[in-house]
Amino acid sequence: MKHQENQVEQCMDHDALIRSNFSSLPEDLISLILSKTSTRDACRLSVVSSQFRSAASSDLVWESFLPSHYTKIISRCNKHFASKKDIYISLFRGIVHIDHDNKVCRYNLRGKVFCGLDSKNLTVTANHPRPNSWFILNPEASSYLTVNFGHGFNIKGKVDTGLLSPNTNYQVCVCYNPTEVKGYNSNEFSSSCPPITVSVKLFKEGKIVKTSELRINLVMTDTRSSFRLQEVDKWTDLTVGKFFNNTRDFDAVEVSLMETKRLNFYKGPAIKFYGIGFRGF
Amino acid sequence: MSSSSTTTTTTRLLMLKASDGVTFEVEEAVATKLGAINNMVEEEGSEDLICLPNVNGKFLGMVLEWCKKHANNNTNSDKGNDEVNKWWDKEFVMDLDQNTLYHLLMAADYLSGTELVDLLTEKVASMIRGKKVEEIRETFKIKSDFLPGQEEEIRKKNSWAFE
Repeated sequence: MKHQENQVEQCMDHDALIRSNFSSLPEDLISLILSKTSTRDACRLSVVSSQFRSAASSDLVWESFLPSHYTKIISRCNKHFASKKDIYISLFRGIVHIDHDNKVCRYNLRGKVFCGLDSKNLTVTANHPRPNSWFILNPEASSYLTVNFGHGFNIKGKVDTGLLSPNTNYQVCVCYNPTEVKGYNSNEFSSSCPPITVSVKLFKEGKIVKTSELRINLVMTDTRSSFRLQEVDKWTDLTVGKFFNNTRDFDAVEVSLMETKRLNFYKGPAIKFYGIGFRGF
Repeated sequence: MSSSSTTTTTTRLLMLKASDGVTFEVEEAVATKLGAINNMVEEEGSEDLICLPNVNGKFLGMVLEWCKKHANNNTNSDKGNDEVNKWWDKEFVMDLDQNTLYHLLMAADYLSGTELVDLLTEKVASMIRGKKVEEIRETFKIKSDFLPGQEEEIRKKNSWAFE
């Protein structure tokens, strides 16, 4: 009797051997396997079968693809995300608006955060303001602000470094466009455009820890100089500084662009500022 | 000097009985590398015979072989052993055919051998990486159960992964 039972069991085992089929693996094991592939694999393999699709969309899989730092960004975002996959796609293949739409963040493929401050996030002051003439905030298209030379402007943008990838090299870039302004042709504009001082200040608990300064001419930027100039569709993307984001030594970084030399003209040539970006690499 | 201490310690032996009646006598320290057995030992205390109706003897043997190697290599905890374990793990999964891999994974999962599950899922992942959907279906003999048009829809939604 005992012997027979064993035989039956063995038959069942034999059947199971033949039926061995990866689609009969429990779903969490398939998820675990997919979490060890790549995002591309996980997405592609959701087409294999309904079980793979379900396993491939699980949070277990996508959590493993997200850098642990991502919660710092998501916690400052108003949007509701349906799943970890949704978060991944938004951060790595799209862009996420945070702090009440004042900043944008995304990850590059190396998993480093890019943070952009758009023009709404920049503060503008002038040493020699003249009423109604020194800068224009574009009310209808707030995607940039126009600043005239000749008034000693100072544009500042600040971000807490906790938002950026820790222990990562960062480039600071300024996105802008010189504009044609009535009464000034571009030749005159470029020859008379004064250099601007760009400073990158690192803060710890409100105190400046480190400052680096550069003087640049936003119009006559020489591509041979140490600055990297990139022509993007809409604007010029100029790298104006770099720092290593050591979150232990500082907690905020501030970039300012100052017109240090006063020109005789005002209402004159202008720069359209689209924003300041912090690019991890 | 108590140089003989290592040889005189008596280790408790457990009997593990697989679904096909095959039994294995293993040291407790080896068997408890498996979370499920560790729980049973803690709960049942004195029971020395443990029946495992969901695991076939062939695969239970392989799981225990893995446990034995890791239990032995872990006793002297110096860095060189990590390398030995890694090398041994590599050998262990290298020539596994798909069928064995599947059953071993099911057994390791059932017995809560977390480290072994990690090792085996990594092996399966390496077979999947970069493969086309059709290749995966063929390799693992999986039939698509999508309705007509449904697959196309999912492809469209994840189009970037197919570029």
